[in-house]
Amino acid sequence: MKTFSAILVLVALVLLWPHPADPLPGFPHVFLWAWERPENLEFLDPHAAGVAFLARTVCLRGGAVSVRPRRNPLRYPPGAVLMAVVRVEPQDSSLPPVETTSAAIAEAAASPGVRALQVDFDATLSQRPFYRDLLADLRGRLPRTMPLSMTALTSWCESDGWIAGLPVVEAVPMLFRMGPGERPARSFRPALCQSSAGVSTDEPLRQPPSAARLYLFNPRPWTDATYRAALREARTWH
Amino acid sequence: MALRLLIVILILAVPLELPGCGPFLPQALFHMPRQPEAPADFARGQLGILQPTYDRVYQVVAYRYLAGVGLNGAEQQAVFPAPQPADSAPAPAAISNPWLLARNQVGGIQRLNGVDPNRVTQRPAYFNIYLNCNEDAFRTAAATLQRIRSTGHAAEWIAAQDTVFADCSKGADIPPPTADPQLRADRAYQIASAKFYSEQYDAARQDFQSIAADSSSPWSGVAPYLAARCLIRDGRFARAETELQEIAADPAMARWHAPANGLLGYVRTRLHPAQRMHELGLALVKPDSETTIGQDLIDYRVLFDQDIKPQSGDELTDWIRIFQAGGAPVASWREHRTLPWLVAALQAATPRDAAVPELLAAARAVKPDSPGYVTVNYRSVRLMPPDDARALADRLLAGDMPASARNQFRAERMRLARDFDDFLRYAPRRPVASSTYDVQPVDQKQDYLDADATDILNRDVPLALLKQAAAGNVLPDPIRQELRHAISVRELVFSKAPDFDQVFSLLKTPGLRPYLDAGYGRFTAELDKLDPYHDNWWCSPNALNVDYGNTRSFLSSDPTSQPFLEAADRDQAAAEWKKLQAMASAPDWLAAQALAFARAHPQDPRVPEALYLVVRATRFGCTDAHTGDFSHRAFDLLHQKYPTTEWAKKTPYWFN
Repeated sequence: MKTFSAILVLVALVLLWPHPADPLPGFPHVFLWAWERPENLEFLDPHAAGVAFLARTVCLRGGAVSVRPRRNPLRYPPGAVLMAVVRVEPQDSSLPPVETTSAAIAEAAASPGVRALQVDFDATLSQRPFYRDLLADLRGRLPRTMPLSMTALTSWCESDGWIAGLPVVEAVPMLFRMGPGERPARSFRPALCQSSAGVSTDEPLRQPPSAARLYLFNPRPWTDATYRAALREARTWH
Repeated sequence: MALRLLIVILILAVPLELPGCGPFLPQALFHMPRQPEAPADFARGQLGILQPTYDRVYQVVAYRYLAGVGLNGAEQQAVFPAPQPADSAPAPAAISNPWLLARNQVGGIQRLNGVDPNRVTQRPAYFNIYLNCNEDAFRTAAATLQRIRSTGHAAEWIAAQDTVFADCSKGADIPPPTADPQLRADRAYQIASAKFYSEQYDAARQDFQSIAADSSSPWSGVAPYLAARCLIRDGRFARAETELQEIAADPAMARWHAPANGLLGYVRTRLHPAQRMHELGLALVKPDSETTIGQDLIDYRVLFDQDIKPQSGDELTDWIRIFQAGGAPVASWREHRTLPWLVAALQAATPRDAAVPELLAAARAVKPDSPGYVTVNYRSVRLMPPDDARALADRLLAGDMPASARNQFRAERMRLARDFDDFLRYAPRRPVASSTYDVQPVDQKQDYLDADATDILNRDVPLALLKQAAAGNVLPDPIRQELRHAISVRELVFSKAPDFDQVFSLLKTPGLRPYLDAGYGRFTAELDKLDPYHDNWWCSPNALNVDYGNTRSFLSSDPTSQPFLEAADRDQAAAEWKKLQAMASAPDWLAAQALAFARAHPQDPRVPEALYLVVRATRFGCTDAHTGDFSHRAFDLLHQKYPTTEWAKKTPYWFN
C-alpha cells in the first residue's frame, strides 16, 4: 500500500510539475544565425525555421559608441520570422554610457520585419554590471511585445548564476568554440538557459541538456544541404 | 566555514578577466600561413619564403617581383595603404566627417553631431544595408560650403544640404527649388543628389543630365559621370558601361577619366567576368600602374573567388592557380624558363624526380639580390642530398632574411642534424606572430620550441640524452629549465618506487609534466598555480578531456627514427615512449601513489594534505574513467581517518 501511494504521488508530481512555458510563443523552434556574409535563405520553410541575422555590431571604444552595420545582403522566404542580432564589442576598458549603447542596439529592432532582438555580448566579469544595466535600459526602449533574447557563454549557464533575473526571455548557451578541456554541459541551472541552445555546424553538434529551441551557426554561407544535415543530426538527439 | 573556504579557493582559481567567446589562448606562430609577417617589406620585394597559402594579393605582388616588374613606391601605397587606426570606432566624442566639421563652424547654424551614411534597403524578403553616402560626398560638400560662404547664402544652402544628407540613411525629402539666381545651379545639384540618395535613380539621372546640359552650372562637368552612377545604382550595367566608355574617351572630360575608368572596371567585372579577368591578369603585371592597381586587385580577387577560368595568355592567373595548387610540373619551367616558374617547379619537385639536377642548376643561377633567392634556396634544400643541403642551409642562415624564413630554414637544418647537439642548435626558433582571436605579428625577444622539435624531444630522445641537453649549453636557459622539469617528472613516473617527497611536491605543482610544451606552452606560467583551462599536470592518451595539442601530438603518434641518434638511443627512447603512452593521467597516478603511501604510513603528517591535494587534482586535472573512483577513495579516507584536520574541512566534495 505504501509503495502504491508513493507511486501515485510520484505520478502526480510528474504530471503536475510546472513545465516552463515557451518564452518565444509562436516563434519557430529552429533559428539560423545569419552572420556577416551574403546569405540566401530562401530555401527555408518559414514555419519551420526563423532567421536570426547579425544586423549590426556596436563597438565600444574610448567611452564612445560606433555602429558597424551589416554589410551583406540577406534573402529569406516571405513570412520568415526575423530576429535582429546585435553584437556588442568592447574594444577597451572604457565603457560608454549605458543609454547611448542601448539606443544604438535598439535601432536594430526598428528594421523592417524584425520581430525579436538578440544581444550577443561576451561580457567579462568587470563588464557584467554594465551589461545588466544595458539590458534593463534596452528592455525599456523596445516595444512591450518585442522579445529580448541574449546569447550566453556556457559558463554563465553552468557554474555561474549571474544571469538570473536579467530582463530577457532567454539566454542561448553557445555550445561551440568551447575552450580546451571544457566538457559538454550536463545541465543548465538558470531557467533562462533551459529553453534554447546554440550549436555550430563545423563542430560535432553537442546535444544540449534541454532545449526546445535550437540556434544553428554555420561559419560559411548557409545552403539547403548544410541546413538539412544539421537538422538530421539534431533529430538523432531525441 | 569549509564551504566558504572552498568558494574562496574556487574564486581565486579562476582569472578575474576571461577573454569573451573562446577562450582564445595565445599560440606562437613561427611563420604566418596567410601573409608575410612584414607586409611593407614584402611590398618592397623582400619576399622571404613565398608560401602557396598566402592570400592572393601577396601572390600577385610576389609574381610581379619574380617576373622583374616589382612595385614602385606609389604602387606599394596603392596595394598596401597605410594601416587605419586600430578599429573603425571614432575617438571619443570626435567628429571626423569633413562636412560636419565645416558645417558646424558656420555661425548661427545648429550643430549636428553625426550623419548616418548607411541606408537600409526595404524590399519584401530582403534585408540589406549599404553605404549610401561615401567620403567623397562629404568632402565635396565641405569644399562647396567654402565657396557658398562667400555668397552670403550659407544658411539656406546648409539647410538644403542637411536635407540631402538626411536621405543617406532614410526618407526621401527633397530640398525645395530656389528663386535665388546665385543658388539656382547649386540647388539643382542638391535636388539631384537628394533624389540619388533616396533611391529615385531615374529622376536623379534626368536631373544630372539637365545639369550636364547647363554650361553655366559649376556641376556640369561631373554631371554625366553622376548620371552614369545612377544607372549603376539601378543595376543597368550595360547602359552604364556605354556612358562611362564615352566619358573615358572624351578628351574634354579628362578630369573624369580616372573615376570613370574605375567605375567601368566595376561594371565590366559584373558584365563580362571572363573578359575582365583576362584584362586584369594582363593589367596587374604592368609597371607604373599606381592609378589602377588598387581597384584592379580588388576586382581581380573578386573574380578569382568566383572561379573564373583564365584565358590563354594570362600568365599571372595561370601561375597563381598552379602555385597555390602545389606547384608546377617541370615542363612548365622548361616552357617559360623564368623565375616564377622555377619557384613553382621547385615547389612541386620531390628529391627522386629526374629533373632535380636541372632545377637545382637553375636555382644556383639565381643571384642573392633576386627577390626569389630565399625561396628557391629553401626549396632546393629539400631536394638536395643531406651534405649539400646542410651546406646550403648554413650559408643562407649566415645571411639576412625575414624571421619567418629563418625559422623555416632552421627547421630544415634541424631535420638534417648530424648529431644531437646539431639537432639542439637548430631546435629553438623565434615566434613571428601570435594567434589568439586573430593572428597578429609580434616582436618577440625570446626563442621557443616549435612542435617539430618538441615532438622529437618528447618522443624520440631517451632520458639520458635529455639530461645531457639540460646540462649542456646549446639550448637557451628557459628551454633548459623546462627540460629539467620534464626530466624530473619523467624520472618520477618511470620509477618503480616513486619517492613520496617528490609525489607530494608534484601534487602542489600542477604546471609540471613529463614532456615539453611547444610554443608559449601552458597559459598559466606559474608552475604552482592551477590553470583555469584545466591544463594541469598531464593527460593520458585515453583521457576524457584532453584537448591540448602537445600531449596529443606526441602520445598519439608513433616514434620516428631520427638519423642523428645512435641505434641504442633510439631503442631506449622507444621503450621509454611505451611507458609514457601507458601511464595514467596525472590525477589517477598521483592518487594511486598518495593512497598507497597513506595506507603504508597513516601517521605521516603529510597524508591528510596529500589526500586533499589528490581530490583537488581530480577536479582540475585530466580525467578518465577511473578518476572519479580515485577522487571518491581519497575523499573517504581523508574524512574517515583525518576528519578534524583542516584538509578534511577544505574538502567538502569529491569529483566524478
